[in-house]
Amino acid sequence: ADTVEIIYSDTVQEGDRRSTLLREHFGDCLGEGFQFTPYFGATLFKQGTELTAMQRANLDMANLAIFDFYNQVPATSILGTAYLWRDYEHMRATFNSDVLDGLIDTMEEATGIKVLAWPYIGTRHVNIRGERKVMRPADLNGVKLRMPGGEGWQFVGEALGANPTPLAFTEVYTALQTGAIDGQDNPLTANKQMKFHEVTDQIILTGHLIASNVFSMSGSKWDSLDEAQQARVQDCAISFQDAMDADTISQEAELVDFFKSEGLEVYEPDKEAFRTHVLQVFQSSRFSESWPDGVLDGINGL
Amino acid sequence: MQQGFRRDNTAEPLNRHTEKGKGNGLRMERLKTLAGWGERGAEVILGLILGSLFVSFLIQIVFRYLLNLPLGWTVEFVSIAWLWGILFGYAFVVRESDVIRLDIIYAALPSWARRALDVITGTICAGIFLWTLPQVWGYIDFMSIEKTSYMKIRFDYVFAIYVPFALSVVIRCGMSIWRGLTGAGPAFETPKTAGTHDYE
Amino acid sequence: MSDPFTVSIVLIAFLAFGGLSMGLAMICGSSVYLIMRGFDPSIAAETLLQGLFNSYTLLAIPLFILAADIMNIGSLADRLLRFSQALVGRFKGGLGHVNVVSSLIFSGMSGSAVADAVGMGKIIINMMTKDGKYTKSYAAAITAASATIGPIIPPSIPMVLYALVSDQSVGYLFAAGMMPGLLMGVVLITMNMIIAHSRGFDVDEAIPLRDMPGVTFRAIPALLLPVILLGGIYGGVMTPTEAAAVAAFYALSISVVFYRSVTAGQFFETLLASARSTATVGILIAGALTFQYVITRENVPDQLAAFLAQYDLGPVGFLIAINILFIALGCILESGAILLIIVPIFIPTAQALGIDLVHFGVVCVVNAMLGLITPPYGLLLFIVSSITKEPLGRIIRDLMPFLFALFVALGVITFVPDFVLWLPRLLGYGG
Ligand code: NA
Ligand code: NA
Repeated sequence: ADTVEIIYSDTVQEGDRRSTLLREHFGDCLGEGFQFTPYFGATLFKQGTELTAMQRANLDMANLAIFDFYNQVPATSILGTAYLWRDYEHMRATFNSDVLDGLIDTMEEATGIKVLAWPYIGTRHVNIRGERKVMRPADLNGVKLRMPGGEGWQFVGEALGANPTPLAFTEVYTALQTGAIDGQDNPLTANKQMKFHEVTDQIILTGHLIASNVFSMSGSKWDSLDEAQQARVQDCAISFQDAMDADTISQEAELVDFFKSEGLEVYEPDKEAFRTHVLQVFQSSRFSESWPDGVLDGINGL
Repeated sequence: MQQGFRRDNTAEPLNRHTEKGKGNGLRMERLKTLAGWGERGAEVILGLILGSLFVSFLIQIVFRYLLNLPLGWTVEFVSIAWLWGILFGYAFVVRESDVIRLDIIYAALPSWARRALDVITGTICAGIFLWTLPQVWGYIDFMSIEKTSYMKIRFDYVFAIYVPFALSVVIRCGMSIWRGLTGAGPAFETPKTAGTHDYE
Repeated sequence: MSDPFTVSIVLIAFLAFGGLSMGLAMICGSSVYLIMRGFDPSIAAETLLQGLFNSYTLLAIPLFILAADIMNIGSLADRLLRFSQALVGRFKGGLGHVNVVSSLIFSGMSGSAVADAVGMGKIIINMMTKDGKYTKSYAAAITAASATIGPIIPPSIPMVLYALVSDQSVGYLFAAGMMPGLLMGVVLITMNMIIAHSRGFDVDEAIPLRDMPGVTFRAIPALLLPVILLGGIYGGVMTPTEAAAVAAFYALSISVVFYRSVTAGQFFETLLASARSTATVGILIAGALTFQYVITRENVPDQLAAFLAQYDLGPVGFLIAINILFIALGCILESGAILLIIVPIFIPTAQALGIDLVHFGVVCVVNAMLGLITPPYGLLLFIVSSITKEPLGRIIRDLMPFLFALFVALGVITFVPDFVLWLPRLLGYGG
């Protein structure tokens, strides 16, 4: 049979750990009969434009973010909700259960995308300058917190009790250093990579977003594969997901000690207070209007 | 001062384009007036686009830093103004003589060779823009499924400006081909003006 | 590299050298590549539209253009020139020094060499040539040479373009330009001093010391602009893009309120002129964005890195090669084209060789600016020639010593990264 070429676009840089894991655990796993061609650093398609590129069959695969789907499938906004999960295990258990099957079917039908896996990329925590002790949402009152651009992200910042502000990722370090912003939220791995610990004083382990990517393939590509090929792609996607999960978890464990050794205060706030407050804010917002019935209860029941 | 410098180099392009029609009398004059109004109208719109971009930035700064109330829509609005300013401006306001070219060889060629080049490059460029227009239209139309994140404007509207831009490129190439064929002079003098090189 | 790629490169070169707009030539070349490879040709339009829509940093460009244009219609340039004259005008070759010093100050406000040459250049050339003390060609040469400093000292539009293609922080790039810009000023002043002595220029009429306070006072609002701008960025008040808006607003305010030199009508015409410039450079950026897709799809940077690896250049050898290549390209290409099309191809290699990308950016931008004064295609040369009505040949002859001095500065900038990175590190840059 002919070799299947798979064009893949990702936003992380070529030298990133995730890129290496992807090549090894997905690309190499595919083996004979496939040619996996990844492009890193958002050089082929800009961040946020991969979904439409895949829908137009100009791109075969990408590691999408859940909010890339909001426009076309508003119901998916539930998966980007802060404090949807208690921890990593809860998140993984949800994806392994059948609670989300209906939602994922809707996603695939509405967009024509095949969802292959949900690799874990880290838990977002609040990272700020200054001495104020943050235990509950009210303690973040007035904190100018940089959140990624886009309404959904900004709303997360608001729900946490802070004043969210959008800013380009590359400008965050300078803005923290000079005090233009008081803090930012990112997984610990990103904090280390961007050296945010040099310009901040504390990491509050709010754990507000347990983030995973949507590792997916364009529907037209998927349909062009025969059954054996589809099975191979699916298996390798799961092997990539397992590798990502393990790597992210071990990194996060190491990093707490690293940041402490760098002189930062790293502590857990009253997470229950945050979780209750944030979920309540979300449920009474228009963001929850499109949530599918029963999913939240289903997740909470796991 | 820069204004003065610009004016030195901005012989009304319309006069240049319509010189052949001098004898045609009143009808030509009216057309000229109309075209002049059209041109001025396009200029005013372009000025307003940049002006609104400038003002939105000031609003954003006031809200973010003085009132501590960051706005989202300003970031989106300025991005749209920038996209539209470029494509609209290039389509309807930028003069042939302002365009950034590598005219180091072109400028040194004799008139007949430049005319030949005008015809060839114009044909290739117009051909490619026309040939790809249906697919491009398909893409823009497809983008109706996405909306901007703050103002919720459908992306087919945001990107629609590409169509008049592409058509204007085709028409301008057509004019360049016509001038090359009829010998109405090269499409543009190649003055080394500063006006449009502010970025360097 | 495939045949469609070769065809697309040849087509772009043919169209561009054949007199078509560079931006359109690249859109055409990219489209032909897509068609030949059987891809969806709308990808060209898609990358163009998404690229422009999603590049927030680039919005500094129209704002810096607007700020410079406003400064040029108000009487800011006059005030600054008077001030520089009071400062360094009393030395031998005084007006030459004034020329360089005023460029240094002006470059702290404007992001563009061309705005510098046109605004400041016109007045100072008149001053220098008025009573025949300096030849027109000498005045033109030193004006063109000192204008290259404009985008090295922050703010800087070319640095914003580099930030776009390299994903580096605009703030650190700006900081990294400061020392190199000052160094370029120093070497030009030194060269002017040497020439003034060897050619025996007369001492210029100096501004009496008792006028100093008045001259300084009138220049203060203008002198405050760089302070506000850089203080705003590094003091953490705002991002570089927002600082550009503040700069334009400040220039407008002092021109209207303090110098009373700008009317509403003038402002609108300035707005229009800036918008026209924006559209012109925007199409070049748009073309570069579409072509970027082709470069990426063909893995050109990887292949280039593999090619260079054969020669085992090492960082120093690579930087020497880059300087030679960029200087050669600068003789025939636009600075925008160099930064947007050529530089991105080399960034991955530079990174792989362990060259700091902020340092590399400064090297690239200085090269691109020197390209503005290297014949035959040097935009600044054309501008000063059109101001003075002097033939290019004579200007180029007088320019040679200054070009030599700037090459010495380029050597230091290229091979002493610590000199370039000292200020950004002081401001917290980790590289
Ligand atoms: Na500058
Ligand atoms: Na040159």
